[in-house]
Amino acid sequence: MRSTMLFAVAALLITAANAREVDPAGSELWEDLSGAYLGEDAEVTFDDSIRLMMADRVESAHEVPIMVKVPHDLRDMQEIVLLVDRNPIQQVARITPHRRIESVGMNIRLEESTPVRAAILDQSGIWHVATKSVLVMSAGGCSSPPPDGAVVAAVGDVKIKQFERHGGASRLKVQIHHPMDTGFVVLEDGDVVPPYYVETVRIEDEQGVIADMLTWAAMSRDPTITIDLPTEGQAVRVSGNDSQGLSFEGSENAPVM
Amino acid sequence: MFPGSQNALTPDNGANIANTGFIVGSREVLAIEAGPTHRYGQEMLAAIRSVTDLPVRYAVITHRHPDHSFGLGAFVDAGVDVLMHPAEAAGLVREGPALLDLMTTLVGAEWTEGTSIEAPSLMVEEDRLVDLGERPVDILVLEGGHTEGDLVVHDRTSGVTFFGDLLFIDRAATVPHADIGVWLTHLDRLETLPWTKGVPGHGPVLEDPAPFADTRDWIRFLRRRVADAVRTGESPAEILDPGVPTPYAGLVEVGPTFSRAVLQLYRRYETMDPAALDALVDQQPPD
Repeated sequence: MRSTMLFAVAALLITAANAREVDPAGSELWEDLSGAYLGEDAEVTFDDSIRLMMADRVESAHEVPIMVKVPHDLRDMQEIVLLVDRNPIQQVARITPHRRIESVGMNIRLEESTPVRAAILDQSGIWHVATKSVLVMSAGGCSSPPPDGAVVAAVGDVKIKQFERHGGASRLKVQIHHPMDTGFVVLEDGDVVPPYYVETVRIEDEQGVIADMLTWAAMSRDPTITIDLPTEGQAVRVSGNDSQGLSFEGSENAPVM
Repeated sequence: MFPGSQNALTPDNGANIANTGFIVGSREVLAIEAGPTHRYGQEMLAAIRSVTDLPVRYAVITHRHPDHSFGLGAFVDAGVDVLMHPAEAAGLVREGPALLDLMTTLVGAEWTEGTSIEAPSLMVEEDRLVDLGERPVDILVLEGGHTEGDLVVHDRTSGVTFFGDLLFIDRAATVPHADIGVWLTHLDRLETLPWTKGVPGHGPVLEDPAPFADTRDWIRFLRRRVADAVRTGESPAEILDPGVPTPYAGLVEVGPTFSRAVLQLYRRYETMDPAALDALVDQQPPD
């Protein structure tokens, strides 16, 4: 009798899961978020095998480093999307890799305590979502003026660095000098800082395009993008556009012989 | 000595987390630190007056951080000469107002009411000796380590020494203004001073220098870990995600301090050239 009931409950749970998986973060915003950015009829599964690395308690909400480690079976993904439930700008970036990538990292803005999501679209068209709930101690990463910082380079200045990893693998680190203004910051005199941010980024090398990105101002000022590749990039080049039509580009320094 | 609470800043402790104290001569009194709020400074003065009728002549503020300095208005009001390193005084005036707002958010306005950021009256740029009346007291200047100019107070008569935040015991040291290499040399120097009892900025009074390891190991670890990450292109996210490593996990306030320290040091080390980074990673304890 008892086991029959348990079985019935389990069967019900499985049915519910098939219809729509329960958000592990329990966010009431998830359904709308998923519909808006992953598609209304998208098939979505929460996937613990994706590692979304970041501090779980954040004080500097203007610049929160995150790193997504992609499991082996998803490295031929179609797309990866970074989302923040409780941001005024929920979509941070959409990345379309043109070769296998092992991880993606960047620094992002968090307006308040929120779940953060990394959604990976596999070859069969299913979204695999990693979730991490983050406590934001000082709110306003999107809506308060940033802490002071020396502005040294020109807008659109690109810095590229490559680091060796094990077995010939490499890590590509790209920094674009840009204010990434959200349009939500009101200055003391009442003026609103208008939105101004990087919209597209292409990363390529001699073998062709590595990844194309669409980006929004939920990325931090002077965004840093990290991509792990199974092999070393050759003569890496980065180009892109911002929301005022400025084109920018930069190339990896020729290696010192 | 007035011990501070080994906790975060909370409405329960009114930001009273740092140790403070005073030394009585035959003529006058020297206070160490002003505490975190005007209210604390007033209570501290009242407590000193309950012990001695001699006038409080000096208050030495070891460095700019709010838990040590924001009570200075009470001492200024009482006509006490407030001593500080000039770089720390400038930093206090510059950074103080924003930090006072933050403190008020954390502990509540009933604690911080009346607190204002004021400039100290006497600048201490090099070691000096003050005489409180048959009680010579050294004020030592240790620059560019924990902050731009930390002051250490050494009572020659009793050997009691107030180390300020050059020393954190049982608690994770903070590094927003620190040069860890210089700080370590300061710790070596402090260890050899002829002190009998040592009062750290945070934590229990010391009888011997063994607990210096609490500060030394932690800041060395921070330097090595972050410099290595910058050198290999590791993201701060990858340092922070696994949490605080076991040997340090028991330190008070280590979680938030670790996150803050990693981001602060990462930003600083990112601008260094590879050879300098290698040197930071390779500097190991001497034994």
